[in-house]
Amino acid sequence: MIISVIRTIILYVLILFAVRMMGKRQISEMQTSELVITLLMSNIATIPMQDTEQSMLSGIVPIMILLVCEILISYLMLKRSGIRKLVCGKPVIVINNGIIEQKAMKELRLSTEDLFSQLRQKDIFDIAEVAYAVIETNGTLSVLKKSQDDNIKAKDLKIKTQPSELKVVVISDGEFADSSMRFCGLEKDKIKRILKKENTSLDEVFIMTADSSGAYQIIKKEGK
Amino acid sequence: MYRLYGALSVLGAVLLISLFGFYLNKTTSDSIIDHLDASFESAEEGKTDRAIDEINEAQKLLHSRLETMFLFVSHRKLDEIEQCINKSKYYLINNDLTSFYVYCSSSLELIRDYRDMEYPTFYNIL
Repeated sequence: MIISVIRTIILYVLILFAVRMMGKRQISEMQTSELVITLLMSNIATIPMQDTEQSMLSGIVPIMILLVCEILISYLMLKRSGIRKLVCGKPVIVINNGIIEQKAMKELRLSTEDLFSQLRQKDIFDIAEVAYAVIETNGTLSVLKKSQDDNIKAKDLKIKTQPSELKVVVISDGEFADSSMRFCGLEKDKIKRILKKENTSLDEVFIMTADSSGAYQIIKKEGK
Repeated sequence: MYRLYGALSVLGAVLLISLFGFYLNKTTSDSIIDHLDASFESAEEGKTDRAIDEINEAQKLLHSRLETMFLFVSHRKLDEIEQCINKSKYYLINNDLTSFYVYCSSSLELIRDYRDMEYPTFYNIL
């Protein structure tokens, strides 16, 4: 049993490494081939975990080979659009200028229920609102609404707005987040001065967010 | 880009491991086959002492490389080969040549299968 425990830990680290190497995409954003390879890797990893008679390398080698193939293919897909088309396919327009492309839907084996379900998930309940809808290579639906049904933006009304600033967490549960501090150009001393001005201490802070313009927000810990 | 280099390094490492495994299995299996063949022939010629020496050599070689070989193949296969060689030796020492021939032949067959299964041939791949 102890062998299984050690092997599981080793394979866990290996799978973490492999997933980290494959990139940061979430399951819903994965291409079909990426999803299949991820499932395949986890399946292969279970064999030497459970069967201690099996050599562990016989599990590690296929996992590593799949990882290498995945990275090489994704690199080639970046460089050659032909390979990308071959591996991922291409996006398909299913609603073209408000008209459903029935032939494309048949080719995709996409039912009207599926199409309407995906539209509803995008808060579109009337197909008349849609100008274009495209099934992306990972199976998700992208929609462009007709201009008269689209949300009004500030620029449509010619309203001047403040530039957007990204707020990041600089203190989390009483601890400094160094990389976020660097991102918004803050130093520990400066934050300590802000905390002093706000009559609080580092230990009392649950979350402090800040942006590069100098704006900040402090949320204290409960009961402090 | 570091991902690509990382992947190529992993590929290099995996290929090295696989080639080392292949080389180790092939050389060990070939040597054991030679010793078992020599033992079989010596027993046929009535040179029992020489046959025992040869089978001892085969046993020693297998023992010395067993742990490294366990890294590459299933334990079951090597255990089966080891048991078969031990039985051959037992019958040879006890002068039961008929049983020795049977077990020595099956040892040879097992180790040849074991060696051949690693060759990247059309049949093995499929």
